[in-house]
Parts: sequence; structure tokens; C-alpha cells
Amino acid sequence: MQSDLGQTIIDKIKNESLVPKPRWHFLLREWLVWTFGTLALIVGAASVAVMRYLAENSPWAMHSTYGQTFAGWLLLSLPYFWLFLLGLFLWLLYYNLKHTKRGYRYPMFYVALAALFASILLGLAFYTLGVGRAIDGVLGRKAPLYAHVFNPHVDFWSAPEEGRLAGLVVAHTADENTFILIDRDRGEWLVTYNPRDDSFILIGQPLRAFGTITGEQRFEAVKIMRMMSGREYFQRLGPGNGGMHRNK
Amino acid sequence: MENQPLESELDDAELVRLSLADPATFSLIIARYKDKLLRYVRRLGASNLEDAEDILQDLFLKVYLNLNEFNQSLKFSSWIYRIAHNEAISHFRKRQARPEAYSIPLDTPGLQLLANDLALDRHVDGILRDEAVSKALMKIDARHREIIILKFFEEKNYNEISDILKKPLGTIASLLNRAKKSLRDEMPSKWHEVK
Repeated sequence: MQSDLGQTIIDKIKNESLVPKPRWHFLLREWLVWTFGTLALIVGAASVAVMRYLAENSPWAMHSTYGQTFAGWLLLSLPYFWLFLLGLFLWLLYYNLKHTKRGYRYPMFYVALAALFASILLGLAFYTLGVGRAIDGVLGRKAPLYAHVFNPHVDFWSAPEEGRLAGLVVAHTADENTFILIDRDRGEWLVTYNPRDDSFILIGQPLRAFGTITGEQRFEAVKIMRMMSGREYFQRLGPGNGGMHRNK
Repeated sequence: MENQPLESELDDAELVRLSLADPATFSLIIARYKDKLLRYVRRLGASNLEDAEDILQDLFLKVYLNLNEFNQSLKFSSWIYRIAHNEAISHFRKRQARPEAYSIPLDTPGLQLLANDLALDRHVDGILRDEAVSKALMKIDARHREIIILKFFEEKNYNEISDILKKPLGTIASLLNRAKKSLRDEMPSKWHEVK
């Protein structure tokens, strides 16, 4: 049979009218691999940008002051969802790079490292351009389960019994050292901060505070900071967004 | 007419270009590669000649259908060996058959080259040694066998093996070392050269 092989194949090609697949078929496949790779890079970089933005809320040096070990503080504040998303899209980027025409020539380790570095570098560029803030803002305004999934800092800063309180400033009081803040559960707190700085503690401004509970729905703050990520989420508590109610 | 190159003078890329224009020219590619690829497919584990010829027919059809995929950044021989390798492996899988080890004839040039590379005692009789290497080849893991086949029997260099198996160069080097070690382990220990 072997001597006839050439003729057998040529006959088969002619009888079955077989034609080579067009060149665009292969170009399209390569183009799709690069396109999906680029999309994976962009989504991974967006995750990095959001994580970098979330890190603005992290009081790196203050964990020990408020009863947390570094590990405990890290576990509470790690953005698990974004880490998972980054991991997933890093894998997709790696997979697509390995499946480009020349991808197999490069060792797995270097391709994975290149994917990681590219995602981090582009992510930091995105962060500088405000992409992290924009994504957090959109999710904060619209996303259900925002506090549980997208921003672990809302939970972290909503533990007044552990000295951390976050919420929206809704009123200044007659007493110049206090103001009213509503927390994520729409509970109202009378916060003491001496002296109250009215240029910083603005009505409608989301804030976070370190301090202690001094009585029922009373909190004495020793340090007050602006809320960075999660700002838009706390704006949901404002007038016109479901209103306020008093704690019983 | 006098200026027309002989068919045997045309390089592979030129033959691909001509085959795309006229399927009949494809028979020149078949003629050029059928013996090499038949040997390769048999060495990979299609010890039955009929099976090997079936694989060969399917793989040449696949080559024809995918001619437009070939580009000159790769050697044509690496590209066609890659298709042959994949076709053989998929054939074994479809038949749910383990590749059967093919006994390498003792007069195969690569066999001596391989035996010399294994650092065995030089005083062992050459024929005895080649026979033992040929038998040991049938015992080692198929992944190890296929890389040894490419290096020593198909005489491919590292770059070509990397392109055929679609693995990085470093992986090819370490896989080849492991393959040689496992082959050496199959040889009588008294033959292992003391360093």
C-alpha cells in the first residue's frame, strides 16, 4: 500500500473535493488567543487597581493599637474576591500566552511571572489613572452584597465594639465636639471628637474612626480619617437613598 | 523549460506553496516524507504496519488540510513531525491502545549513538550492548521513549524537538536526561561505567 500512498491521498483529495483550510482561519485563531489574553490582562490589572485603591483604607501601622495582631488584621482586611479574580485572570492570561504560536517555547515559570508583572504594572497604571476608584465607586453605588463581596473594609471598619466605626456624617450637633454619624446598618451614633474640625467633618461625608464606645450609641473617636474605598457605598445611607432611622 | 528547477531541488516551503495551487504537487511532499514518517510512527508505537499506514494516511490528509497553517518561522519538517506525533498519539488514544514498543533493528545507526551516550562499560560486546539498549527502549515510559527516538533515531536537534513536542528547550533537555537515566537503569548494573 505504501507505494500507492501518494496516489491514494491525491485521489481522496480530488474525489472528496478537499481543500486546505483558508489562511484566515488560522489567523483568526491566533487573533482570538491574543484578544482573550489581552482581555484577561485588562481584567487582572483592574483587580490590581481596585486592590491598590482598597489598600488606601488600611492603617498599616495601627493594627496593634486596636487589639489585632498583624495576621488577624490582614485576614480581616484582605480583598479575597479581588485576589480570586486576579488569580483567575492571571491563569487565563497564562493559558492564552502559552497557546500563542510561540508560547510553548518559553518556560512555564517565566510566562507565569511575565503575566503577573504585566498585570501588576498595568494595574498600578490603572490605579494612577483612577480606574480602581471608579470601579469601587460603581460597585459601591449599585452592587448588591458590596460590603460582603467587593470591599472587606466595610466589615473591618464596622466593629465599634473593637474600636472601629465607619459611616456617613449626617449632622453637626450644638455641642461643638460631637456630630451624628449613621453606620452601615443605619444605626445612629453620637460621636465625640475633640475638637470637632468642621472643615474635615462635613455633612454627607463618609468617615471612619478609631476610638471606644462610651455609652449606648455613643462613640469617642481618637482618630478620624476619610473613607476612601466604600465612599459610594456609605453614600447610599444619605437622604434620598432610603433615609435614616433611629436606633431603638 | 530548461530553467525549471527539478522537483527534488524544490525546498519544502516551495512545495507547500505549489501544493496550495495544485493538489497534485502534494504528492511530492508525500514522497519526500512518507518513509521517514512511517518509521517515526512505527517507532512511536504503531508496531503493526497496517496501523502505521492508516496513521500515515490520516496525517498526510491533515497536513494537506492545514497547509495554510505552516509558516516559515518553523522548519517544515518540524511542523510535519509535530502533526505526525499528535496524530499517532490521538490514534492510540482513540483505539484505547497503549503504544506498543517497537523493537529497533540492531543496524539502526542511532542505536550505537545512543548506546555510546549512556556511559556503559566500554568492554561490553557492542552487539550485546546494542541488543540490550534496544530491549531496554521497549521497557521505558512512552514519554521518555519518544524523546529518545526524536534525538537519536530521527536525529533532531533540541530546537526541532522543542518545536515538535511544543515544549520549552529547558524541558526538552531535562526530559532527555531523565529518559537516558531511566534507560540506563534498565541496563544490567554491572555494565554501568564506574566514574
